[in-house]
Amino acid sequence: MFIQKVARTAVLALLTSCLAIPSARAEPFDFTACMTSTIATLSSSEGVNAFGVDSKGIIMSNHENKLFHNYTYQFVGVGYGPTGAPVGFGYFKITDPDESFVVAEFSGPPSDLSFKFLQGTGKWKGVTGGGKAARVASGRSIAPGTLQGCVRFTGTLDLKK
Amino acid sequence: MIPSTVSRIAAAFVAKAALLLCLVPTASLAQAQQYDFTSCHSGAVKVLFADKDVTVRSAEGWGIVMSNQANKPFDNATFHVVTTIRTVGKETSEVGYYKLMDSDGDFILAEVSRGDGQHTSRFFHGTGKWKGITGSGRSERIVFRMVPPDWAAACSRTVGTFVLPGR
Repeated sequence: MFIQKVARTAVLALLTSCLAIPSARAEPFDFTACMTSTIATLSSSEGVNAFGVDSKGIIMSNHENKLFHNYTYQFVGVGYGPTGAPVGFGYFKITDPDESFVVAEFSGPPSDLSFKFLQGTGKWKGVTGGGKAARVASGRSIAPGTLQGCVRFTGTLDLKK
Repeated sequence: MIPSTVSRIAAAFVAKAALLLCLVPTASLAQAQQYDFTSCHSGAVKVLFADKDVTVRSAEGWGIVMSNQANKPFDNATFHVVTTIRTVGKETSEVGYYKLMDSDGDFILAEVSRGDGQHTSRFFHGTGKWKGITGSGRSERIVFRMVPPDWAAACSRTVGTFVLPGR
């Protein structure tokens, strides 16, 4: 009687744990995107700016799984706030050499950027996940109306097969 | 008498050699500084001519440098690069110039070239703290994407040395 009860509990625990495991495994990624951006200033007054950004660049993976290595990076967005610390919102698209791509929503102040995958095509169809991002390189603008920099992205993704 | 003369000559020779060995290389070694950085840029590509055998393009890009060294020469310097690229069959050659600017606004001009699979660069002009700079480096591509019809992006690692007069 006791053994049956233990066996029943064990089977139940096993089933519960199996059901709790998602069908897709969360895959970590860690990459650096470097880009040059054009800035369209909408307003600038008392040290507060409203602007649009259009960025293009390329990705180097920092992770051994090399996810997103050699993908192109494109971003469009807007920002508002004090110089050097605006709050931004926008979308980025990262594209594989085979033209499959992932689109993500990107938001936050430079010190606490976060992103969430919204859509994928080709091998990235059904992608979900997201993570955090931080600026790792920024310099003096090399040409008027432009900015150059690098951002490091870390997080996980799920791909439902 | 003879051994004494020989000793004096030998001593003088050793002293001069030591002077040469110590002073001359020390002066030049003190000026040579190593650099090792990763640079990434993105920009526009224009095609002047393209058929099945020959392509001639120009490229203009803007980018940033991340130093791979602890002492970080050129870290966060931004740059503007303009090149012309010729491809004949499988052979590609490239010649161009870039302007590298640090956070103080001082800049360095360099000539870049590619041929026989080698990317090289040579500093030939500088302003402010970089005045009189000379030096060179070799680059290796880490990533590169050409995105039709008109833009491209790349990251490279460059290792080399530079010399600043009087330092």
